[in-house]
Amino acid sequence: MQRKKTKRYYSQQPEERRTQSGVRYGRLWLVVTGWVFLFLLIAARLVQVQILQHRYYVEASRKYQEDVKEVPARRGSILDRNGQIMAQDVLQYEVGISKSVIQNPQKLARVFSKHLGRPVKYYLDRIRRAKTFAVLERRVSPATKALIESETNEKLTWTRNFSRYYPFKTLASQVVGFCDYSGNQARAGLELRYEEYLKGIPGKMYFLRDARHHLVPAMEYPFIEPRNGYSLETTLDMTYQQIVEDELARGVQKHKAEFGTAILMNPHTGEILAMANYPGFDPNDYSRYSLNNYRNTAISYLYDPGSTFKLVPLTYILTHGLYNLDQKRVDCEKGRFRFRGVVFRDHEPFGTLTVREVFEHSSNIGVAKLSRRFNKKDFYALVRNYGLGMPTGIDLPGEERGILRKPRNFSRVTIPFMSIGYSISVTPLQILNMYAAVANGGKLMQPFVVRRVVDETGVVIEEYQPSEIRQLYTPEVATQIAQVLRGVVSRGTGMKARIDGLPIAGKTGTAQQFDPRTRSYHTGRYVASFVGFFPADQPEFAMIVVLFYPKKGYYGGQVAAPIFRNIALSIYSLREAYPQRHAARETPEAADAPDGPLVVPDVQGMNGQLAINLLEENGFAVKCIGNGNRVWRQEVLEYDHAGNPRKVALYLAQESPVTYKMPDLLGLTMQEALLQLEGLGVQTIIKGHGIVKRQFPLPGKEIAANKRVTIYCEPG
Amino acid sequence: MKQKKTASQPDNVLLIAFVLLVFIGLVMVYSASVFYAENARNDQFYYFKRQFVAFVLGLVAVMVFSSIRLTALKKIAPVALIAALVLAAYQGVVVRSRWFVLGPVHFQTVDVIRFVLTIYLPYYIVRAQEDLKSFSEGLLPALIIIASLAGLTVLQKDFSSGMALFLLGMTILAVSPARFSHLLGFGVSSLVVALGGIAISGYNMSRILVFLNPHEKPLEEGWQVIHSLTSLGRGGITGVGFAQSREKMFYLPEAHTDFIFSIIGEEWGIVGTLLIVTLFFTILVRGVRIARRQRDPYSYYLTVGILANFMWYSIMNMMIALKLLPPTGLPLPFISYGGTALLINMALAGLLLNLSRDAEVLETDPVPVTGKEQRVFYYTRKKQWRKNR
Repeated sequence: MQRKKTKRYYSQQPEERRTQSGVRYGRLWLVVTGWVFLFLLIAARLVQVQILQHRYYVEASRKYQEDVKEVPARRGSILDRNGQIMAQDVLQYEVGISKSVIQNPQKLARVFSKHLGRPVKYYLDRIRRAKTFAVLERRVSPATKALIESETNEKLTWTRNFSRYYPFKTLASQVVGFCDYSGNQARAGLELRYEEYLKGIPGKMYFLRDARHHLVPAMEYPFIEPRNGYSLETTLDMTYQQIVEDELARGVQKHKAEFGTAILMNPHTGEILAMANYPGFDPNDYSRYSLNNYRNTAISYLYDPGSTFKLVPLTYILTHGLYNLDQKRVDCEKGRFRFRGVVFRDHEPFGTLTVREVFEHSSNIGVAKLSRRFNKKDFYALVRNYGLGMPTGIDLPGEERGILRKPRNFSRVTIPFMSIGYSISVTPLQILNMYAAVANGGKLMQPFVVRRVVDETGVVIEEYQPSEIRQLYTPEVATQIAQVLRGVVSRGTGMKARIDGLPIAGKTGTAQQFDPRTRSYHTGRYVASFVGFFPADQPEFAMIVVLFYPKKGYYGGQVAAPIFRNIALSIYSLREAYPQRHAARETPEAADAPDGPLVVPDVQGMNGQLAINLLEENGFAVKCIGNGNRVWRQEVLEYDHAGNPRKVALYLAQESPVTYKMPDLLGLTMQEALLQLEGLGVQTIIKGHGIVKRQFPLPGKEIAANKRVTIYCEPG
Repeated sequence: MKQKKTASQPDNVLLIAFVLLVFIGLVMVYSASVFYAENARNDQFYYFKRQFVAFVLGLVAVMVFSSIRLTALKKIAPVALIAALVLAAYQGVVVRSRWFVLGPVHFQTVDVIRFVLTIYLPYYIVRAQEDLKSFSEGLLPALIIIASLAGLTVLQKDFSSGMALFLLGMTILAVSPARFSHLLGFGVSSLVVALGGIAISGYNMSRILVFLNPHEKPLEEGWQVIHSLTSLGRGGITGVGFAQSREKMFYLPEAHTDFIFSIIGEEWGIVGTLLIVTLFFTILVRGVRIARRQRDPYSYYLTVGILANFMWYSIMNMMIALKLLPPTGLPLPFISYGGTALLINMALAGLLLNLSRDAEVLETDPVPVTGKEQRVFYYTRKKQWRKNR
């Protein structure tokens, strides 16, 4: 549409005349075409971004927008055989504050100092050093939390978690083991061995994260309930444990030993009743102790057993019928005897002794002489059958297998040396298990600590039965051995273990230890031990007491035997006093568990209605915030004048877009209808009273959990 | 001379498009600002309330401008231009801020300036007419006005609005009798000057161009672009649902102002974004129809100017959200949060509705183009009107 200047407007056709207004439609079309092109470009790009790349952007944004918080599962407890709690998870809070919201650090620090006992400066330092968020305290009990919250209006951040609590503190600490302070990661003992059972499966809660790192619960995803850990029912008896540990500690201190071990066991089943290692540690505060204190010496410390090992040559003699115990006489060479180029010594000079006396008085020379008729292979087989040179298989971590030479590596003096308890390394538990076999008539039992794994409702998940590893010899042989061992206590080296009226069978052991540093059995490093069982005629307990490197006295008979005696005496007098050992007893220290004036039950993660009921039953007023059927946070709103919580706010979130089938309520009474609806978490509106005549939604319709349901009732 | 038609109605389609845009805008300002408002102002309705006040004022503006006589507008145009120049100079040189503040009155100057430019340039074109064909005598003053207004806006630290003003002015001139070669030459040389200015001011060009590859600096310059696209991409076809946007949780900066289009895309999907595109396209189609019916050159250029306002702002805003242009702050007309912009846009919308009504009144009777004929034409028409009254 060109316009010529000379043309007059009225001379043109109507269509062309429009241009006569002086405007340039051609130019307009150009501009409009440009705009239309840009619109098409935008539309095409929208299709590309919003449809073709949709999946990519959804995935990319989920990475930073969504967050999964673990809802910690409660770790299972560890109980003794009478149900006393040895380890338990306690609800605690980690508390911190974001530096941007803090109002009065001085005042806050004073409140914390007042309730948690650390100096004011400590908290101020923590606040000052933190960059954005200061963690003030890691373990605060719910009661203390309530007190702190009542005294400050700072916006504290409380993170709910569990922390491990060991009511018995040092008692059986190496057996129970411990979990580290954060995350309940097991580090040692039963805690570690049964980690898979104890730890449970944490639940999951999904959150949306905004760019400022605040979290909001995500309604789109279901809340996944945690599965709490299973509990362990052990064979330990904390009363025995207490006795054993006390006596052991006294003995170790008295004889200035470096450390000591004592194990009490039921010889018929292999159940460990007590396992003590002194010095121990407090698992509640483990980091204060040296690593050596964590060690379960009873199963992991190797030593040369010395005379307690003479059980093996004795067994060999009896099972192979080599000698008659009372007729064969051995010349003990007045305490010094050179044999195959090696000198053997006795702790006191003996003349000629019977075989029985050789063992009762623990003559090394006598045993060495008797061992001359031992067959290498048979002897080795017997040692293996007794379970040496291999782990006993007890259900505790860190067990040592011991050191036992193969017969082909035996030298000419290995058998005599081994017969008196050298050239072999064992753990205290291995030796005890040998004597337990004597006590039960020749059965080598599998020692164990855990007899049942149960879930939190008491359902047994796993049960461990006593198991016999092998029958070593006939009960008659066992009786013969037991008689010799009784002689040790009544006449021989173990006389200090004797108790009038309680026959004890046992064996002392005193062994110089090989020092790897000087590569010699240098004098001064002894292991004194006593192992045996009682009552000797009808054994109920097998026990070993080992003191390592005592500085005051070193003979097993002098050092270990009295400890054995004291423990046996205590246990037995206890049995006399309480024939029914399994009667309920009050827990000694469970009252130490954190509690306080009035604690709001922890309902986080619970179904909303249940939580409200629970709180109201406990006398709290409840305020619900938000819609939904799942409590994701709770908070104390008001306190009464005594500082006890009175009103609790529950933040509810929709658990998941669960829908239910609307039940048929027609014809039911109002109460029945309400019962039907109760579990669904719906809001019910009742019109009238009596029998349900109409309902909305209709029966069978799908309803969401927080929907309203209206029922119309009429009397009659 | 044809008589005035009885009950001249404004363009209903256009009216519906405007109403829809303003309505969507109010709703989306609330949705997009809810977190920000809650966080910064402790009131989730804070921005919605302020926008609503502007909307009410805008309704007054619509009523005024949809019934105003265009002759009156033409009369105030030169005065308005001088006022605008003074305002722009004061803001650009003295205050150096885009916000004019006088007691309780405070507004964004660029919106006022673009309104004045929209009503003044047609006035100038109509007066200059064929002189525009000459660069020095006709075109140059217009270009100086455009350049000085745009330049003063840039001095107000509002580079993108300056660009928009420039585009707006050039678009109006593009449909005028001015020679295309002059305009093109001026456009190109302006571009060179602008680029040179950027280079001299030490502003790093790579910071502008980083938008082409935002993942190089995902936490700095690339952040806005990445989150704008993520927001749109998350929406898919039908979107995540009203108020369900996650990107508005402080990820996408300016979610309720310059990047509200992305939030619409996230919450309503491509259905929502294409609806917005369609509504602006509707304005374009109806606007062109109105422009073609104008018999008065001033009305014609005014129509194009108003259209240019809506088109450039909406197109550039959407292109920025889609990573087709570097991220600079331009509001989406009628929708983005911003009281002055909403008020001015509603005034312009009222004016366009006014023009649509006039367009139907004056079916035919073209206006003579030049000189004497035109003067005769206006003289007789004026007489006619007086007589009719």
